[in-house]
Amino acid sequence: MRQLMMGCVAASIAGFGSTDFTFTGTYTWIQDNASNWRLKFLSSGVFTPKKSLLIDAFLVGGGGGGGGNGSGDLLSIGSGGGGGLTGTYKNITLVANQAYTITIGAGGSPSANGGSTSAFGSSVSGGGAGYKVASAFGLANGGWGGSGGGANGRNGSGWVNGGNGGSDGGNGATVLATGGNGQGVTTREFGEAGTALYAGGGGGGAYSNSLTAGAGGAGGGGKGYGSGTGAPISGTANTGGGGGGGSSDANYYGASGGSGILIIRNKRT
Amino acid sequence: MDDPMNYALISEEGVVENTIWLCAANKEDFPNAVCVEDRPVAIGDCYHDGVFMRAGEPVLTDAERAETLLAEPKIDLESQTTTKNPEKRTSPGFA
Repeated sequence: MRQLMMGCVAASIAGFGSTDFTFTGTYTWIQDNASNWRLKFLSSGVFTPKKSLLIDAFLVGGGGGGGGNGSGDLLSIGSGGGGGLTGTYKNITLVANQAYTITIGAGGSPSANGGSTSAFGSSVSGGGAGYKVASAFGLANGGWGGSGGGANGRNGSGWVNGGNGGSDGGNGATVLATGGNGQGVTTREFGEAGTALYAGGGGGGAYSNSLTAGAGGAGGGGKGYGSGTGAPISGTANTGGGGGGGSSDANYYGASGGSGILIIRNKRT
Repeated sequence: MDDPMNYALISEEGVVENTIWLCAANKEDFPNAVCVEDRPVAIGDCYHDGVFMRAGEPVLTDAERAETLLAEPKIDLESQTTTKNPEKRTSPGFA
């Protein structure tokens, strides 16, 4: 009986296509080649496969929001938010006609953690928020996450460039305050070399527009406030990238993190 | 389908337990979801009677915060500027 059921699953895998499921949210179907496919879930909803199948799943939480006091008092600059955590889960059996609830974590609002992404009994947390300083000329560590956010642009003697956001699981750049800790393992899709990066950390803010903002980490992290476009940039939607840090110089709060994502694919060896 | 927006998932105790990316078109999949639009709601905030609260204060949008600042007496704003930001308009930056 067990062998028969496995055989049925295997037969279904070979025939699974873009019309063999329903999903109530938004998604993208990618046919990589004749036998391999991926399905990207871009918003929350209910997934119902019409056939049983074996899959791998890659989850990314929402990016943390960048820090910053905006128009509040203090000569303050915020740090970058951390990217959402990522997780790869392999060899998951999905049963035909069973409804699976999928939640895609929202990007964190300024100075708020990102939301969690969950599916098929697994969950990953959103990235940690960037910090806003609690005193004039204060230091703000970067937010923790899949990749850490960059520290704010302040050293021991004055205003300096913001710290860059981390990428691929690395820490954000330290200035005097500490860059946020990354998860320490790759944030690439399914954890495999050569695939797309996710969950970049947000860049730290610089005090004024004459200084360079911390760059967002590769994988959707947004840059902080500073030269160039000025305003801090939000993490890219569906990457789990952290938001850039803000500055009270131009009344900018930090920027929001990017929403997370779930990607599934046919089980691969 | 419409573009996704931020929604808060509210627990039975009235606490924001997660923030998710969700379309209005399938909002009914999540009966405890409340659309927050551009309100900077965070996990752990409270939600009662249609109002998000944090540390006993309503969670305001940027526009609401700006309105609050404008509503304050001008003399108070000037006082804040001179007492809290003494170096704000000087050359940026050195303690």
